[in-house]
Amino acid sequence: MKGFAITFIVLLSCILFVNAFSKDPILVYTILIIFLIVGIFIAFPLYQAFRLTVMKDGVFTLEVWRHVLSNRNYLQALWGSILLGVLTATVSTAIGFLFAFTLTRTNVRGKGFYATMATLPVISPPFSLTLSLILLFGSYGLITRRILGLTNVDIYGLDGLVIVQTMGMFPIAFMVLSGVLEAIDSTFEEAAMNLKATRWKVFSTVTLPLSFPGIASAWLLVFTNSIADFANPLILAGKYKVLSVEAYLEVTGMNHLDIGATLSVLLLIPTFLAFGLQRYWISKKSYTTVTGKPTGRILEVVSPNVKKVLVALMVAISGFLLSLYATIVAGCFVKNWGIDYTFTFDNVVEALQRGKDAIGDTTLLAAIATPIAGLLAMIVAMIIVRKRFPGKGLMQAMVITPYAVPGTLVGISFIIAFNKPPLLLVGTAAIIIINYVVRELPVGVESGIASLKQIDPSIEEAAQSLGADTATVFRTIVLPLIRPAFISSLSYTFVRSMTAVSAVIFLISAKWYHMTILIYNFSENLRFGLASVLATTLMVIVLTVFWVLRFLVGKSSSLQKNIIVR
Amino acid sequence: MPASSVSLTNVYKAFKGFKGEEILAVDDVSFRIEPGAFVTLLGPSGCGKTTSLRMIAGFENPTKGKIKIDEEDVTFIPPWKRDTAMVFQSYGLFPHMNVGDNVGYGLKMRKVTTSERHKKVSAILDLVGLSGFEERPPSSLSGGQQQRVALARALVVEPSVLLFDEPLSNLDVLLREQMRVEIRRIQQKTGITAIYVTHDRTEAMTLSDTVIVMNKGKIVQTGTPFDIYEEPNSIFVADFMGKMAYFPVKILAWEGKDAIVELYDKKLSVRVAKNVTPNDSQRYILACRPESMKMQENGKGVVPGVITTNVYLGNAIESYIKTEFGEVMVKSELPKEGLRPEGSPVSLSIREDKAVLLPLDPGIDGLSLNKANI
Repeated sequence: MKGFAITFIVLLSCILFVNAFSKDPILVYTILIIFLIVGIFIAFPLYQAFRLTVMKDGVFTLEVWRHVLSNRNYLQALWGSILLGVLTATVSTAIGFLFAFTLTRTNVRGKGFYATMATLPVISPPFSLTLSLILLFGSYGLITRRILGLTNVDIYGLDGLVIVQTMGMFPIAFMVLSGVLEAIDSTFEEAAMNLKATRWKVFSTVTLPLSFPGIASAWLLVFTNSIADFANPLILAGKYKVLSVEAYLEVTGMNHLDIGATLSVLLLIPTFLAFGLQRYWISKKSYTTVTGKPTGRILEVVSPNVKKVLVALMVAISGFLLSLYATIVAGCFVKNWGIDYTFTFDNVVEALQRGKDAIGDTTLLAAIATPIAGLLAMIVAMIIVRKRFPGKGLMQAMVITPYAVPGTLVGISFIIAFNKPPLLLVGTAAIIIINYVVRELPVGVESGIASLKQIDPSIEEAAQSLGADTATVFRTIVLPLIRPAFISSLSYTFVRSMTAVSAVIFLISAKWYHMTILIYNFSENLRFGLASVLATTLMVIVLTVFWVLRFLVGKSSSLQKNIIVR
Repeated sequence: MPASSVSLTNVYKAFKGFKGEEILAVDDVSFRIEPGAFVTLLGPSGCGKTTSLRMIAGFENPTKGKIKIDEEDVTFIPPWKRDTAMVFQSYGLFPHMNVGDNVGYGLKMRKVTTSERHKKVSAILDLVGLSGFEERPPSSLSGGQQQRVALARALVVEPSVLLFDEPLSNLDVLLREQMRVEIRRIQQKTGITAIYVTHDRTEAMTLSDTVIVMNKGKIVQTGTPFDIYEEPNSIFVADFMGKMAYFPVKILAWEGKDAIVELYDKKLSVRVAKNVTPNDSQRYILACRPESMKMQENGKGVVPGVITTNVYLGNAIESYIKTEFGEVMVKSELPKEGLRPEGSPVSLSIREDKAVLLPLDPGIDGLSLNKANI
């Protein structure tokens, strides 16, 4: 009661102070509210999670860290995450480069198809590729058991994980690299060829060195995505240990919140290293060759035979990817995959019956989070780009933080921070919505900032001088002008919320469930048919949203660039 | 339309530099603009003119000082509560609205009814010569038309002060001259108070009743265009307003507002710059506009020299003449006897009623001024 009275008095005096001394009270309130949101829902939980790793019963101690770092299991998981990250990043970058290079440097036919193949997996829902890999290559897999007759195959573990992660993450490398390769003017290659360099020489001495910074940042981006990945290893890791899953098991299985927090903080270290390396080292090394006039010409730097090999590889990968998607759909209509392949609708009926609450919850929560995250992102972007106020750098840094933090850590820090009054949110819908908003905010803010920077500030000043206050300027001028960024931020939030796993798995309750977790439960119980139905449903929802969006924005490119992350 | 006075009293504006150091963009500026006047803030880039204008509009807060519109203190009133309207260099048209909605935006903010709004919008578009353009998107208009829309958008709300931030610098020369006349005509017709920021002296001279010349955040001279051009009070203003020839002279005597000076053994009676009190410890230099000098037969004028270059401009000739004090330019009409060829020796005479004696800052070499001029 006393606390409330104090809070009330502080708030009241704040309001009086702002009204008396500020030229633009609405702006000041907005800034204060944003600081409050970021402080409570980003800084505070992360602080609580860090605190838990070094405090026990109110005393500073490194006991938990000592325990974690001396335990063979945890060190094995750390090493497992890094090894998986290195392998996935390397293979993904190679495949990404194959697609990007072939599409930007040769005249192959069907570029649109290959580009789609190399971007589609980014939006495929979690578990979908994992599921189909199990259906095809598991111990009762269609190919392994039925066609090849093998009985002792095990897709669970490192090899399966590398395959699934690579299929899901090579698009990240592709998007980074095709951007980089497009920016390299082919005049350089022409010049080299003109100087009597052979095709291989041109590639190895000009094209490849010029794209090195792109390759490095693609590799790092995939690496951080891979080690933060939770959904794929959750199902497919088998006996192989990775940190994100280990942290989850500690928290939900053993109720060891402190160890879970420590493991996910451990996960943060390689992520931050890679992130910092990207920002401060590679970005400085980039040889972006802006000439102002893209030539649009393509110099065929590869011989016809090499081109055939490149195309064959792309066809193989695309074919594999398509067969994975087809498997998922087929899985919906098969009685008992691996044993009885008769056609049936039973799975669909049962899955929708048992999943209808989860589907409803998931859609509802995502639909609530979407406008909040979208609007908030645009407001933050406008304030950061256009206004001057103390603590702006801090605000921007805090808003961007969840972008680099693995979902597991976000989830764990939320249950640590919000499990007691006055912020008892665990078990409510609010905690899930807030988690969505906070996690998807960075991408929206970044795209809002990027598009606002393209807009002449005098447009907003003109509106102000004609009598529009800050809120009106935002509503009538800023929002319409950054509409593409706004819409893509909305759809991004919606899709990511619909397909969330890593953080939300800690936050769901009996009352508020999530479709993806249900997919996980079905596959844990080997009900792959039911899991396939839900995964397909999710895929349909996601694709519909993207289709609607493409219709609304007109162009999909800005969106796809925004989707690159994680 | 209403017209208001605007006054700035000891206004300062400090910005943080890149290294966190303070930069004074506006340094103790005070002036008062009478209702209905057209005043130009003129100066080189970075002189504080735009910052001053933006403070009047409310986009920037002064670090110190007071700004009043119509005797009302508006220093801490946000832009949208001030009765000012601004025309921007980059037009600032709303790209997502058509011309009619752009112009009607301010009226909408003022809760003017739709029918009234349409009436006013079409009347004002008529005034700027764009009747019937309501439905067009701004992007389909030429630069000149876009700036007219911006002008109409500012005018239609009948602000008590109209602010211009280098509105013509994005237009080509021909259009700029045309728009200059237009702006002056509309201002005269509406009788609105106008404050106009520019670095273009021709614009300042042709548009304004009063010109305020600024340099390094300070006001250096205020006056009518005639005063500023003919009677600059400093070398900075003299140079900024156009070409000058400078001659070091010996001062023989002060006679009220004039001075008797000696140049090449000849005595000249010339004016002393306004606001300058004769002082024997101060150094002075004689300044002369190109059109206030005449080329004479060798020996007939004051300053001897040789023509190095003739530039034929159609209605005039600019002759560059090498003198003992460096190269100076003389502007004259084509003489009847024809052009004096390059290399001819000449003697320059000076119109005493037009020449002005300017103070020379310590440490500045008077002879270097002519060199810098070329």
